[in-house]
Amino acid sequence: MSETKSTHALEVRGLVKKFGNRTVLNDISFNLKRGEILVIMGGSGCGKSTLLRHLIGVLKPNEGEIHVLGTDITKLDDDGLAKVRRRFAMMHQFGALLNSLTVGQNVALPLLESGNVSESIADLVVKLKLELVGLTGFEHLKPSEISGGMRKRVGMARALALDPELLFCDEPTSGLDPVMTAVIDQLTLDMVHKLGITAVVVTHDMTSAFRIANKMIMLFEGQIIAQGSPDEIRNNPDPRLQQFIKGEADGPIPLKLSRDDYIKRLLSVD
Amino acid sequence: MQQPVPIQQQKKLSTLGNLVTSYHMEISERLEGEIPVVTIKGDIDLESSPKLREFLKTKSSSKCAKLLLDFAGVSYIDSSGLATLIEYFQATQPFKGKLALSSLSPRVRNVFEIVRLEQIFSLHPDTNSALAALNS
Repeated sequence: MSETKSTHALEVRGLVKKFGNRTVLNDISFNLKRGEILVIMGGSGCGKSTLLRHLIGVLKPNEGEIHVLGTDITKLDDDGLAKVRRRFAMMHQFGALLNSLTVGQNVALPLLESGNVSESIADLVVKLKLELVGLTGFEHLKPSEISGGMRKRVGMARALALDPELLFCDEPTSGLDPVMTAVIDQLTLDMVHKLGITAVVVTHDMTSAFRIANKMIMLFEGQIIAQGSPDEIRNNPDPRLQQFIKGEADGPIPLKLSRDDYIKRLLSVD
Repeated sequence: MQQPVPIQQQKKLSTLGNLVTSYHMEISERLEGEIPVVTIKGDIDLESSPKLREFLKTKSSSKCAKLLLDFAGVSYIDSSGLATLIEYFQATQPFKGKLALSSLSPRVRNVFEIVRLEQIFSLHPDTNSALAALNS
């Protein structure tokens, strides 16, 4: 936490990603101040997951810069990237827990892999992290013995094991009931407001998005069509944005490809 | 009252008498009557908490009856730091050692409170009130 700090946790400039001839992210630019929550939203296939994979350094862009915690990760080699990665964490959509390990062993994994923590200290940290997510006493159970909501919370406990400065969450509330969604949202808010971390949350869940966000980005066909505060997003007249926020079937967001595109794709040989 | 050992900024891990330093953290010790007052400065994190652990182990090994940790200079504590304090607290139970912490910044206090550790540790706004609690 003592390293040089820029005021922004994230700065993305002119990010372009192409797979073959297809541009999946086009001129993406935004920034996020430390201690804020950014919500990235958009329909399936709009590029959300691809953007997230760039932000955590799994994919490299064709063009553009991605500054994470003050360092442009597009210019780093594996060692440099590993150094920055120690300062952020990712909570995966389904927890991504190892089924052969207990809940406690899953949470302890990043601690023990860091090589700096003895087993007895790791055991205590596991208990603290499980308390944080409301799962005190569950450390000896296997992932298969707990509910989906609990698995997500274990995934969050594991993501928080090394006290990241920046937390990425991929669909943290998908498939959860409204109460459990509120629990996860409150946990995210506590992490940010009480511990000062920064969070990036990818979600389809509009209730959750408006509950937690300081800043929102709407992606559509690989481009940012709107960004701003929750109020600015709510009041943005773009019909694609309004259709998405209101969850309406009819609107400018196409359910199907145009006739020409459909025929072209159907008859093309990959 | 014994004067605190002057603290120097050092870049290498070292133990010099009752001064312990690491990249981010420095520990110094003085006595207030019979009570060791340990001043910690800097960040207690994955890198520095092993040094704190080592220091506290010497205190639990010697069955230190009362210990005050002055957190006025602590800018950050992570979970490994909390775990280190809990481990010391556990170690003091057989000989009923008393531990008090003083002068936590609001941010550091939040780290304790978010996992309800204010219910375990004796946290005080300043060293005087912590010393009074240890002497009571």
